[in-house]
Amino acid sequence: MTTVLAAAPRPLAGTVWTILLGLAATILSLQGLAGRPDPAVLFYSLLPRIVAALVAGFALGLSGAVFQRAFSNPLAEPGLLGISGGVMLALAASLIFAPALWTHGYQLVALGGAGLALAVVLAVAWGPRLSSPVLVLAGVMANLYCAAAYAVLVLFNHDFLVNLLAWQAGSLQQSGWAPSLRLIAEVTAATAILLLLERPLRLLSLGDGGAASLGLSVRRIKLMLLVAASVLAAVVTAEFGQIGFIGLAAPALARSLWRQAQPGLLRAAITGALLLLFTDQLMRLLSLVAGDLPVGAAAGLLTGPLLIVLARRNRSQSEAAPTPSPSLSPGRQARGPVLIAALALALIAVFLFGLFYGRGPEGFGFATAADLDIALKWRLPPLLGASGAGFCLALAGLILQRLLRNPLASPDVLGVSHGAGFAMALAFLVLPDSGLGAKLVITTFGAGAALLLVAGFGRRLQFEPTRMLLIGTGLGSTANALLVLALASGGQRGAALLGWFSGITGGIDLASALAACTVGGLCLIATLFYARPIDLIALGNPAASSLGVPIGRTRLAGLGLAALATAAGTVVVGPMSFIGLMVPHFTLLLGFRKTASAAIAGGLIGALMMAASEWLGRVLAWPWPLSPGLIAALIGGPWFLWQLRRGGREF
Amino acid sequence: MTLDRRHFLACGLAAFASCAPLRAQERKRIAAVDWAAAESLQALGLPPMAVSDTRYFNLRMPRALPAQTQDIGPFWEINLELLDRLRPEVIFVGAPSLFMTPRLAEIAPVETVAEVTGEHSYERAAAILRQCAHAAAVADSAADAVLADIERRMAQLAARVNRDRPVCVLLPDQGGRRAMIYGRNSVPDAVLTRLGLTNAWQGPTNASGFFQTGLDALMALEDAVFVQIEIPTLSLQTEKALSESALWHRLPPVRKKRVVRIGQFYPFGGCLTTLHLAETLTAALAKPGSTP
Repeated sequence: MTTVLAAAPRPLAGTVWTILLGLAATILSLQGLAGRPDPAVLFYSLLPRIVAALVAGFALGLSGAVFQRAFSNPLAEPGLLGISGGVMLALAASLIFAPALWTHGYQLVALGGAGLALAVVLAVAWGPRLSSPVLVLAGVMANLYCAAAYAVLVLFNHDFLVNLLAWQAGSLQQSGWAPSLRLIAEVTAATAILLLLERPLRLLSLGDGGAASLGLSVRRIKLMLLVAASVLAAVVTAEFGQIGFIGLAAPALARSLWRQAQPGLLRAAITGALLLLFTDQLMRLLSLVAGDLPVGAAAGLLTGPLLIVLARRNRSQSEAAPTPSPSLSPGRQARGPVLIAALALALIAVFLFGLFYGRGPEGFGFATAADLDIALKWRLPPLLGASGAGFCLALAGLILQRLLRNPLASPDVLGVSHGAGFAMALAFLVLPDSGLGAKLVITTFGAGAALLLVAGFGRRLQFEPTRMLLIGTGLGSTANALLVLALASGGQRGAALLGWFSGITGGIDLASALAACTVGGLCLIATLFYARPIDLIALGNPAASSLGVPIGRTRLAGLGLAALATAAGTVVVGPMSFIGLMVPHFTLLLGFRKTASAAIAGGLIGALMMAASEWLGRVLAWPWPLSPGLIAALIGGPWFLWQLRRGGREF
Repeated sequence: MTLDRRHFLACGLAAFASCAPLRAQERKRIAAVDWAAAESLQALGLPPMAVSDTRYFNLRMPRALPAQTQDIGPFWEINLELLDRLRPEVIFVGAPSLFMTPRLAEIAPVETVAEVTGEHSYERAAAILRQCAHAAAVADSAADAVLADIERRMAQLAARVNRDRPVCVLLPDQGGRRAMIYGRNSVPDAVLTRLGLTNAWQGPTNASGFFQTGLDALMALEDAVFVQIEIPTLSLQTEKALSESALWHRLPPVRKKRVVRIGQFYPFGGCLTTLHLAETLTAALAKPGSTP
């Protein structure tokens, strides 16, 4: 709050920069018009494309600004609450299962998907005050759930593969005025509502308590804001596909340009419009040689570095953002050793069951002496690898959440998984014949490079949690954008790459499975060594440094451990964040509060979940295998949301 | 009509394969992860006992598999345990499969099929057929006979095809705003060249010979005939989107009603796919819609 008063508004500089951005976008647009295009191309392609970019950017920037302010979280964007995920899933599902519905009203399908996602998230977070941390956490989970279901739909429906992937990438290519005009009408209506709510929204930025004491029904206002902003995100996604990160970057850029902690909604919206126009026109120029480059993916490419710059520059405002604490209420004080022993026994039982009981051409059955060697040969490495990867990712998530004191921190959010995944994708496209050993080295290198980048930027910022997340999200968005571009043009390799990203385990041999387990074990030992300083850091920096904890060094060591564990897990089960995000909350729910016991229990839970998912994946759609990562997401997600709902009420 | 042609094709080639009869017990047990190899084996009269993703194969490829063919999962994640139980003697894969599941090589010797890259996409089909014959331990003459038959039919089609205009093979997307064009080095381009046709799209392409672009890029193809690929599951959406797409209706070939349709094909297919594509292209271009 002090920063709001301290930061002198500098409207002039902001206006100048905005005009410069607008000029750059205009010059690029004029370049397209100056080439004396065919009149039909000019009128039905170039002009509507400019309008589409402006309107979509306006809507996304506005929507992002509303989300970020309503939740007081600079990472909040429509995607964060599961809105875009819900829309994409609903559209894809209707395309496959009810094409008639899609043909006659995909906008309604999109709104339905957004509404469903929002309803689930709100149902989870519904309480007297619609608390922000619970809402954000529920949104992230809803998003991951939608992404997993979407991946299953795409993988099992090749016919739609190219179309769905191209759509996911988000293109602003136009061939007429209908989509832009429709969007203008929809956006105008939603914008009018949001501008009417701007004043109450400003009061909300005083904090939930402050606003309530001023006599505002916080819950009702947040609800109206969320619905209107979600509609904006949904209609854009319905017309042009997923254009992420404008919603994240535009408000951040507006904050930085105007040096205001809370720039007006319109400023963020206009920044978004110009940003998207600029990006899209750049893509139009590139597309002359490289084919249509979807601006949605490209926006991620460009806004990634932007977020990193913003994280480094915006010292004043990011401290204002509160760091939410874990939002599941801890369970009763655990009888730790007993519970850990029970978890270990359960893991062994599931592991052995998965090894010997399976499905074959003759149906379900236990492996007999005759085919024991086949069962061991093909079931042991994936089971062992999945368990080890689950262990590693759970451990990585636990370390990150404690060190960064943010319940959303996970290998994925920090960009480490994406670094690993991107290195892997690159290897796949450039060196398709490399062996498994090379695969491991390359992926570890990618994770390490991503972490070095994050750590390099983060050192100067004392590893301050919010900005670390911003840097990680930036890196993640860039890697993800490159990946979507590779997928959209990949043909056969695209499908293979998508399979790998969904976390298939068929490629694992015993050596790499054992490697994952070994790395998990070593990381656990190291974590136990650092357990006390990590416990103290989780209490807060002043408390930790007053007790003599070297904060910077402990964080560096912890982040290194997390990177290693992430790389080992990612090589085996793909860049999947679910386990890393979810398991630390489970351990808290079971009552493990100390880092040492939580690390052991968390690792075991992660291994247990992945082992069970691996077995389910082998038998559910036999002979087609399903990736254990997707299964964990599809089964664990709803359960987690339900727990969050029970725990979140008391929060 | 399509069915008739397909039937004719199947019968003709089967007759050829029967020149070199192979009794069941002499046959090698072959699994085909790669579809170009699978259809080459079909052409040799040796349908593989296990193929990846059989349901979709039957939807999309010119000739259906025998009912007893075992589905072994998608090409990017083969069910290795099942495949091992089937005890194949040789496995045909594309490079991506081997990258995803390298342990395929532990089950049986692996034959890697060439990818569609560079200028030899037409010769690739013949090379895969010979590779299949070799790995299946059939005489080279069997492959030569199949190839000679295909070439003979190709020559017949080339003599008959309507060559008035350059041809653009494209797949519009469901938004009616973009299209995937098959350009240089793609399988359709190779077939067009073999038939003596000109590919209207001489612009850039990616490694597989595709180019994804907005409809505005098609404005320059004034003389072309559009060969629009129809995917049955998507045709409803595509038709609606195209009917609402203002720019589509202003493209010269659309305005002059020079749009013909063909069914879907597998863009990385082998000899049966190329022949089938040549037949559908010839038949489509012969329709009255294709002349101005």
